[in-house]
Amino acid sequence: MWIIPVLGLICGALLGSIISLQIPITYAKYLSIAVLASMDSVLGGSRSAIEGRFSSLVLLSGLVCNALAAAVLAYLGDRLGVDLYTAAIIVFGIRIFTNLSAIRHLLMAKYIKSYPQPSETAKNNMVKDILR
Amino acid sequence: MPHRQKRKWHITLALALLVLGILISAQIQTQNRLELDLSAQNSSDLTIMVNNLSEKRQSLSLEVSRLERTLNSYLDDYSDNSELFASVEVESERLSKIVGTTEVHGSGITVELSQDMYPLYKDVLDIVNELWAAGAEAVAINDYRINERSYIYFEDTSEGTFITVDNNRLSFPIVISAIGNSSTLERSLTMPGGIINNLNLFHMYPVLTQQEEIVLPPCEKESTFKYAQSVKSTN
Repeated sequence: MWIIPVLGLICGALLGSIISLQIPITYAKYLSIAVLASMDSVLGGSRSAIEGRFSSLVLLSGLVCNALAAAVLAYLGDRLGVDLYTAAIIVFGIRIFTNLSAIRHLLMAKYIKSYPQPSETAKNNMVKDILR
Repeated sequence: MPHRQKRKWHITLALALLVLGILISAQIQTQNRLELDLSAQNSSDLTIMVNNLSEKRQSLSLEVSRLERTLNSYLDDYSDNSELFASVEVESERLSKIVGTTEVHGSGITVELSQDMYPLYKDVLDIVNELWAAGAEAVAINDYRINERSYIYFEDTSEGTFITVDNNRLSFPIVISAIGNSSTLERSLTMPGGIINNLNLFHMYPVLTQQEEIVLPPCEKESTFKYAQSVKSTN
């Protein structure tokens, strides 16, 4: 069931190492932001897949838009002298950890019978707690 | 529909992960390059690096200058040697021509004196002197090469009087050969009041022939120096 996405990741890694993208060093920073954004999108997508409310459109648009927006914002921040790069890292970092913990909770609820099933509000509260 | 939905999320997620994989590997490569890039190093590491490199550079430049010196000395030696050899060769050739240790050839003039002219050794000597004075580069009488120690004299025997060169009796006809500018040599001999003119007064008419090519034999023995020593100039 999760074989195809994992294969996708492996294929992507291989493809990336084969074509060996030569990103100029000055843009390495923005690439790292794009990586964080796509990590966040993928984890969000995984979570929604587990939750059963997956939407391809949301995932793909989120992937592209978040990655681009983060990179552009970081670039703009550099031009303006405002460290938006750090802001993007913090936001994506928080979201990644939120998604990861949500996935963990969902998986535990799914496979461990004694674990209390999370309600919709509980999940939302958890996210809010982390974001606060 | 649920089945289709299920398949769809697999594929979309796989697509997203594909993009993530590409980005991650690109980022890893970039990061690897970044670590090799000096601008990403911290300043204390850079200071150590600079010190090491400048030390290395200094030692290498010392090495370079040492090697350049060696090269220059080799080059000097080489040019010295080759020049020395060349000049020694030229010099030895010149000296052997002067002292007459080698056979020489070239254009010149021959002066032939026959027996019926009854030449005296003085006449032969005068002709030879005149030839030297006129710029002859090498002179021989019959088969005897004249060098710087040659002497022309005479020898009285019961068979008659012989003109001698280095104590070798000359047989007639006496042919004096000289290498040099043949016309200059001839003119200096035949000028009015000159040696030929003088001999003519005694009814001697030497035969002068300008030669395209004369070969003069080498001296019989080389000059050796036993007592004469060169004075080393101390300037």
